[in-house]
Amino acid sequence: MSRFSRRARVRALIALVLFCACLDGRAHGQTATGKRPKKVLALHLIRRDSPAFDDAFRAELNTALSGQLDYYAEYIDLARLGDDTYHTALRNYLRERYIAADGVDLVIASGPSVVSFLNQDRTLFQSVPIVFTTRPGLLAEPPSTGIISAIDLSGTLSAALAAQPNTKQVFVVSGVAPFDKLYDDIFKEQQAAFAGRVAFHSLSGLSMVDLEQRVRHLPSDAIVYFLSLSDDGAGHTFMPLDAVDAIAAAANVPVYTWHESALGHGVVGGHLHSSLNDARETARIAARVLQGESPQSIPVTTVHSYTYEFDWRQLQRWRISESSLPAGSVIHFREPTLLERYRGYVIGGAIIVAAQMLLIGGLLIQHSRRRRAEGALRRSEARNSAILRALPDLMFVQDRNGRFVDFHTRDPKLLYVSPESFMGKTVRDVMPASLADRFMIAIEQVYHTQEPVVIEYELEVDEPRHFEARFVPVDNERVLSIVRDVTVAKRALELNRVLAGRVIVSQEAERQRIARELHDDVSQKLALLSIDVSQLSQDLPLPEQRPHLEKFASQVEEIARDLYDLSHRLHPSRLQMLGLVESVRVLCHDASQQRDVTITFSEARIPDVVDPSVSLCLYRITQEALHNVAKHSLSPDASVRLERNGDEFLLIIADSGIGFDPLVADHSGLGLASMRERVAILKGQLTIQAAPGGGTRISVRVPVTPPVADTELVPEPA
Amino acid sequence: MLLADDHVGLLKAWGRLLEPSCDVVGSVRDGRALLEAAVALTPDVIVADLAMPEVSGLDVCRTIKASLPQIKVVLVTGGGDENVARAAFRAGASAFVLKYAAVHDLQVAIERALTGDEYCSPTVRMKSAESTR
Repeated sequence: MSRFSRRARVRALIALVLFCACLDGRAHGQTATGKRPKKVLALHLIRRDSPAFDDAFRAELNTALSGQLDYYAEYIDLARLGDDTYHTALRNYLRERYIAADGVDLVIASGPSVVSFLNQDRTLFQSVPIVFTTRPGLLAEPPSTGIISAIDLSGTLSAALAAQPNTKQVFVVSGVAPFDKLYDDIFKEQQAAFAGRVAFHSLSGLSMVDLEQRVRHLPSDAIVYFLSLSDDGAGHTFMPLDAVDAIAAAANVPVYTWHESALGHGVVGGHLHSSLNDARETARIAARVLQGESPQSIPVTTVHSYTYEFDWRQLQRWRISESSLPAGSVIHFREPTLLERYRGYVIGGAIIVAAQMLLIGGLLIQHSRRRRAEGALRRSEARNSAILRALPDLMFVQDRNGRFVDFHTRDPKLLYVSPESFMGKTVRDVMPASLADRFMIAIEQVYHTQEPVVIEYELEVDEPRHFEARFVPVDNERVLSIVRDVTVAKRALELNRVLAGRVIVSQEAERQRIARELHDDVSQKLALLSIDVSQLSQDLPLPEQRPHLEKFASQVEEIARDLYDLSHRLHPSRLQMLGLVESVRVLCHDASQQRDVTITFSEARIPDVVDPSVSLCLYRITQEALHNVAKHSLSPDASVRLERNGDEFLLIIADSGIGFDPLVADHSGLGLASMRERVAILKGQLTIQAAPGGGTRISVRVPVTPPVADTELVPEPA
Repeated sequence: MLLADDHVGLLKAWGRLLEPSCDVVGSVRDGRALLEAAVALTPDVIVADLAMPEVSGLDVCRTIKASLPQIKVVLVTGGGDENVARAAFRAGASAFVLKYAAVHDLQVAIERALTGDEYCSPTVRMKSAESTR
């Protein structure tokens, strides 16, 4: 707010006018085109917004004249308009400045006050067309044209009462200058429509100090309507916007107004008049005149330059909802919300938070999965551990070089050496050389075949013990060996074998004894009886009695024959008589005769005299095998081969029959077990090759000289 | 005629059967004694049991055939089949006689042996002997 004495204001005005004129003179001269530019003088009141009107005029005219514009502006002190001295001085100045020189092509009168000033002496710009902005009821002297700016003060009132429906009182602020009174009078006319709705209180004529004091303590159901204040009741002159600032700052209720320029100075807003819009309209008409149209041919039109405009900050301050404002209202000075102000940060932050949430979510899911996996792993490990504890076996993990990298044992006493002595060392470092070789061969075989390999071996731990080591591949680098102490099983097996051997041997011995008894005693006696009966028959005196005795003799003969057969079945006495080769040949012959099978026999290098136990073994196996051929194989033929290879006899019985699966079938009926036992007694080897549909081949290797240890089990020869 | 059997009763039976027509120069009870007696007595015919202690009838045949080929050996047996008979002939026996058929067969066998022929008791099943030879 500024308050000046009248003298000081006049001095300041003259200085300002001169200064502005100098500025404009420097700024606008002849253009470079040579064509004389249009010289335009705009006359304004001294107002804060006047420079903006200049901009509008200049912009419009420049566009219309393609830059051929020589623009000047002068500012008239509103406060001095009633002062003749001022008028005279101003006219002299203008005449001297513009008319005496080159003259002007057009004068723009920006506002009714300027029109009034020019109308006082039309000779000043005689014949120069005037384009004006004026109020209703005031036109410039011809030659002139322009616009009448409509005055609508009730629009703001309607909007204010709609925004604040509880309003009961309207305090109207206006000054005492003629200009102020003009608007005060218009308002009084327009307020009549609201008479029954609210009470109007005029604050006209008060000093600014009193005015401020008054608006500071208004009732809550009141609003302030700022009309116009150039001079207060105390005679002080104000720039209108300074007055707006002061009143709005002091008021304890919302302040409304009707002019656009007041927005941003503490007022809520209203149905605001845009002087700038008037200026543009005025400039357009000025351009037409400058382009040659006659002012008289352009009719004066009324322009309604009002829009609903509000200050967002004041709406917030007075808690006025935007929804209560008229449709199409323009809200200014909207402060961005935190979101709008920090949109980048907010979006970035949101993205970061979302990313973190995703990350945390992912980590939680992963954590959950890992816990489940760990749980499963723990259970698996517990189960494996329980299995390991339950197993009596030793376990070792070795690399390809046979180096021990891990082990497990239920009982450390089962270990050949202590863990410190073998962990990290190779098999060759720890085990006896011959055994280490077998281990390394097994490990190498596992690597190559990726199949389990089983070896059996004997090792002196606390006593000589038998072990079975089962090698399986773990991965490309390691082999797992499961070592089981099979000593007990091995001994049981051995005992079983020995017992089975003894059973066979004793059975053979008993059969031989009975056979011999039958042959040496019963058979001889029968023979004797037969001879006696025959002789008696020949000695009988009556020939007709002979047939009875001869029949009796033939019965004895038959018994003797049966007895011989029985004896032979019990023990092959002819083995001794005929020898091994001949006996086996007879076996083959008999089998061929009795069954429908063609059996071929061949032999090589078999001596005349063969140890009776070996002979009996080979004979019995041939007998059993040929029995199987005839009974089970369904083979049309078979072969028996007997030969001596160095210290061994080799017996092979082969057929091309249906064979059998040695791993599946129950072969107890085939006598294979007794074959094995017979061979085992002699420490020989029996191999059975058989497959379903692929025939059967039995190979026997026995030593020519039977082992000494078992001779006690071998029966004496017949 | 030299007789050999480990069964005394049978030795006597052979004697009774043969003495009317033959000159029995001795009787022994095992194979070893038989061989010794054969060397000492050089009989024309030996009637010997197939299954004798010490040295079997077959071995006796082989030895006699090798060292005293002019002596004919008639083997008698309590029981036997064509395979045994075949083995006996291969060992050098001139005849193979079943003991319970001796009353009828033994005399014939000795006569055949003395004429250089082979003889086998008809009740020995010889029908397949050739096929397995």
